[in-house]
Amino acid sequence: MPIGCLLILNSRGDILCSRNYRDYYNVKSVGEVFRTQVIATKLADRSPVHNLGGVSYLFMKSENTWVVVATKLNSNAVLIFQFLSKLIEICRVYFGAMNEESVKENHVTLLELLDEILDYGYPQTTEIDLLKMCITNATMKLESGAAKQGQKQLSDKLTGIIGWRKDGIKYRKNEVFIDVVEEVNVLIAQNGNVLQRDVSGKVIMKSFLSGMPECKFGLNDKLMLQSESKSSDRRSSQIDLEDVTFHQCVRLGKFEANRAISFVPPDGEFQLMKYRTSENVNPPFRLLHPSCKSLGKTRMEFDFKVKGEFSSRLNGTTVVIKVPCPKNTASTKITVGAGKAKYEPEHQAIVWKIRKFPGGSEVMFSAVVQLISSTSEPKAWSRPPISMSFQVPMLTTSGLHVRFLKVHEPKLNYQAVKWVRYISKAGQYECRI
Amino acid sequence: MSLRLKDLVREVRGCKTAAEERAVIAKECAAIRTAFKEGKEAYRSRNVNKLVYIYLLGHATEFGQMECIRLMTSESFAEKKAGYLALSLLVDENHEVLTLVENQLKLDLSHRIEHVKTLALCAIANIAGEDMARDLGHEVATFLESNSSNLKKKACLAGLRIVRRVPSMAETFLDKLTNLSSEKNHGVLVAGLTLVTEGLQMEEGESFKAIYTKNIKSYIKILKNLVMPPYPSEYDVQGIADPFLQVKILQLLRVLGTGSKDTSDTMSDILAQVATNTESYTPVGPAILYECVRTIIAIESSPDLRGLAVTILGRFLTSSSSNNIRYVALNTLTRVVDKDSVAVQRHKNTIVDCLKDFDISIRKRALDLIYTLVSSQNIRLLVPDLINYLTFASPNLKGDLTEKICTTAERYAPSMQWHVDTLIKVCILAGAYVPETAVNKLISMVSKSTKEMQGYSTAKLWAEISKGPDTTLLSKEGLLLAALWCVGEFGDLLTAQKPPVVAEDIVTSVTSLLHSTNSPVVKGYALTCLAKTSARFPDIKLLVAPTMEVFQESLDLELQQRAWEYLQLINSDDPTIFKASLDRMPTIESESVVTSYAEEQQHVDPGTASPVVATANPVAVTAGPAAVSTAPQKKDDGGMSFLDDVFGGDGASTATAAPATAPVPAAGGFSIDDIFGGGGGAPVAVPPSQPAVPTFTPPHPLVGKVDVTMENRYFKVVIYSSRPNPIHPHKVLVSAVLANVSTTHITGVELLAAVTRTATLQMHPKEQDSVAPNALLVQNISVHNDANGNAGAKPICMKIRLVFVAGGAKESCEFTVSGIPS
Repeated sequence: MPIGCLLILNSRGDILCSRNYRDYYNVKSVGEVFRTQVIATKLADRSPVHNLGGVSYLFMKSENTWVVVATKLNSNAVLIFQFLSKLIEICRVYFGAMNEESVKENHVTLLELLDEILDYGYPQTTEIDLLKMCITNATMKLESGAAKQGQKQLSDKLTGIIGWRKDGIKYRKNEVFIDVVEEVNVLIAQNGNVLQRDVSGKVIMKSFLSGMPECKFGLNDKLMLQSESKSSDRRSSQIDLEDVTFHQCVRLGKFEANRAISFVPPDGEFQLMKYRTSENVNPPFRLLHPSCKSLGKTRMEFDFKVKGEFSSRLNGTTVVIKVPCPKNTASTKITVGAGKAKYEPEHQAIVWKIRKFPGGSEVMFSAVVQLISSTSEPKAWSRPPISMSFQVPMLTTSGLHVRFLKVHEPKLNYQAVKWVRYISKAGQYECRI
Repeated sequence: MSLRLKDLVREVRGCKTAAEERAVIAKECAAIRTAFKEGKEAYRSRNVNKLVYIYLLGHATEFGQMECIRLMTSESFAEKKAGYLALSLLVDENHEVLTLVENQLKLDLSHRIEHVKTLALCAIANIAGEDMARDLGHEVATFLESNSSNLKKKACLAGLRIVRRVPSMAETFLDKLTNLSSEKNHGVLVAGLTLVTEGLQMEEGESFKAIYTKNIKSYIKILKNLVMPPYPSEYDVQGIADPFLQVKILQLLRVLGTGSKDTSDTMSDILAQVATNTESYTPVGPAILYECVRTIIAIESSPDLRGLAVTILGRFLTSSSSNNIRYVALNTLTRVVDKDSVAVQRHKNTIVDCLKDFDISIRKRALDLIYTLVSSQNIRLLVPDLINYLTFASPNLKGDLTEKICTTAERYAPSMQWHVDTLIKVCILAGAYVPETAVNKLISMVSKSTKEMQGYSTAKLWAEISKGPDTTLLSKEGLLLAALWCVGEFGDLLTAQKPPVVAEDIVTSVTSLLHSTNSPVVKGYALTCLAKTSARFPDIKLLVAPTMEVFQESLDLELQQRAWEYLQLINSDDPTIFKASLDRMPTIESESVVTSYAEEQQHVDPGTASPVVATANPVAVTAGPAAVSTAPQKKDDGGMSFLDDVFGGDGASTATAAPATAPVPAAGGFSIDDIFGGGGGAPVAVPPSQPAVPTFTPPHPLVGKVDVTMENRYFKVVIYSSRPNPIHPHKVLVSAVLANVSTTHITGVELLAAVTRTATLQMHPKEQDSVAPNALLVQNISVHNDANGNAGAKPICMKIRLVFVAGGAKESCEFTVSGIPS
């Protein structure tokens, strides 16, 4: 999938940085076409791929910059997007942020990076750890011997099997941290029926391990347990994972064969896997008896209760509930059982914040909204849903939990300390009224 | 706690992004809503002022309208003023709240303080809708007689709005302004003149024209005082005394002078004085001159005066550096050109120079003007200029330009040689933009011309395409098509040219073209060209065959078929078939246009020129009656369009044609307008009546087509709408033509009609109230459409009830007619 040329533009469409990988592209005209045909016409909001005059433009936006790839060939679009997201990630790690200022400030480094990760339009390596070995922000002292050794190491890495971990890492204390973060997307109808629920989760690992450790990771995934064939006793807590994707360090062959997740972890933080599940999702919060009554033309009443449907040992934190109000709201009178609520005109909603929400408890909300009568009523209020955001530590909405993590380093043979953390967050958590 | 307006403005200006600004506005709006809801007296006017600011930024402020009205009713002048200000901005005539305001306006109009009255008048001038204009019109008119000039001025402005909304009020106002000329205050004069000019242009003010014409001397005197020394020092703008008033008086003179010779004579002196005495080097001067020129053109002025006007316009073009002035000059010249083309011709060079202007709109205007200027006398001078311009015109103008050159060349071409040359030149310069019709025209002309001419044009085109296929050549599709066709047809003539062309060269050039072009049409032409060439020069068959074989597998079905067919012909054993089928085409008779060339016609006896018309006539005459009864639609596409073109194409032959075709309308029942395509403006449709029923010829030129028909056992009803008087666009004469299609004698025919509230109608007396079988009965109805005061805003909708006695029994039927254009 050759990339023809790669451009980084600012929000107006001026070229900040460009690299041409094939002769037949004129970077200036590519940038100009993109600016006039995509940015100026606002086509960018419609689709991330545009074919204009035989050239395909694939792009991603990062803060106030456009990262654009142009190609005349029938390239693999998914691969290009994967590459673009990697590129943006690399830039974030290197420059702290990927925006106009950072690109301008680190122009030279960026060009160096592009030299390293793309050759003749083909991606070479996007592994940050590896790139850090050859491209550093700090001035490098060149010692002939060390440099040579470093070069050898580098070429070994680039061509070796385990490109993401370098040799000879040593820690005094060998530790592994695992975070399971789940985002809950729920849509509840007026009558309390759950119309849509799913959880998208990710497992993030932070490893501080010496040597070349071999890790094995186990979850209460249904298929995984079946393949281990000793699951009959714990059937209740099996869960079904869909759309599982892994970090490149996981040996996919082994996973296909016997559902075992085994890998040599990169050093530091990385995202081990991503998954999605829509079965057995119990929404952690529920709105009870939501009601929204119009009393005449100039008054509305909202009434509902929020219940935390999780173990009373846990607490929800930073719970924010947004109750939308009509455009012509004049004043509000709100009574809440806990936390603070206020009408925020810039969001056209009453924003109710509760810092700590104990599991199993119920909190009530009622508000009277005074409206100003409008002389021309163009259309009725659309009644947008009540939306919620929250965090519940130590809860996985899907019921997933880490069964084991075995770390085995054949040479050093140490015992690693393992830490596991769970957290459930609100994704799109909405309740119609 | 309540933000001051100043602080709000500062806060909004401090916002960096649009989202931030929206948030600030949303917050402030919420605060204002809260304040309104709580009914705080203290900050009412401040809040309304803020609301006006928010409205000016483009945000929704509907919720504040009630508060404006409340503020309007306040006793304090400051609050009232704020209320009125907000009212005239936040509310427009379509809001329902206006009905609430009306009463307060009425009260304020009779307020004891003058300033309050002016506030109310200003509000009326800004927001009055149709209903309000009707209700308050008479009260406003009374202020025209007040002593205060301020009130008078405002009343004139309010009156202007009222008259525009309800034209029938024009009489009331015009009646009160008859002695406007004795007014001393310039403000009142300017406002009053605006109202009078507007009113007199309306149908309702027509009758006042005579009264105002009587006073014309005093208006001229006012104008004279402004133009002639000693200049009044008052109202001086850059050395010119009250230019606004001058412009207004000139406008009034224009209205009064149009169509009246005497009045025009009275004012010609002063117009000449204005035209000569006004200096054009200040920005103000040209404004007055322009207005003066417009008046001179509009009225029945003498040729001298008109010459002066065109000279002024010419001066605008040469000496002015302002684009706007040159633009209006060109624009006005375009309007003068049909009245006084000779005077405009004098400035031809200046106009052609405008093609080099930087401003595209000026170039466009100049082009339009040149098109209208072109005539058979100056075409040899002007068209080369246009073609020259083609070389550096911007691409988006080229398409239009080529088309116009082609049509003008067609209309006025002095000789065929010249016409062919011009078309070839255009094809070479702008091949990509040449319309298909022009290419066809060129081809047909070449095919019709003499052998020398054919050889000459083919050689000329060949020279262009033999250069080899580069991208510029490939983009000129029109050129390629014409060239390929000519080379294919007359390839053998090329060998006689100097230097002679070898057949092999033709094959190589065309083959390389064939392979490099993308257009399937060009490819098709190229294949045919190759096949024809091989028929002209049989020894190159072998060179052509491989190319044909390549295209036998073409994805394009058309090309594939052609390749197979031609290859079959080339390989056929019988040389006569091969020769005969690829022989030269018979002369193409272009069926669309018959052009006659002025220079050639001079040698031609008029008797021989007329056969074109003579042969055309029988077609029309025979097509007429036969087609009318069966398919009137068909008739329009067939013989008629042919006739249309014959007469449209050549103005000279029209005169000879007219008597010949004159009997046609009588026989066929359609107006002569149709034949000349433009006399009546609109095509006349003929009622699809049965052969035996006589047709009806409407008394006036029709507007739009015949509308709706109704048909039952007894009657076939056709509705015509026509405009008896073009000056009165509101008045429509609707004729209902009832054709008795039954075999019984129908008596006691009565037609009742009803229209919507905005229109009024008047029934004309019928000639008879009984209809014999296969006879007609016409009922005329005058409809005065007053919808929204502007003509043609809504089509008329009419309900018609028909009562009659047929065969002893009383029958009735009802139907609706909608969409009668007004």
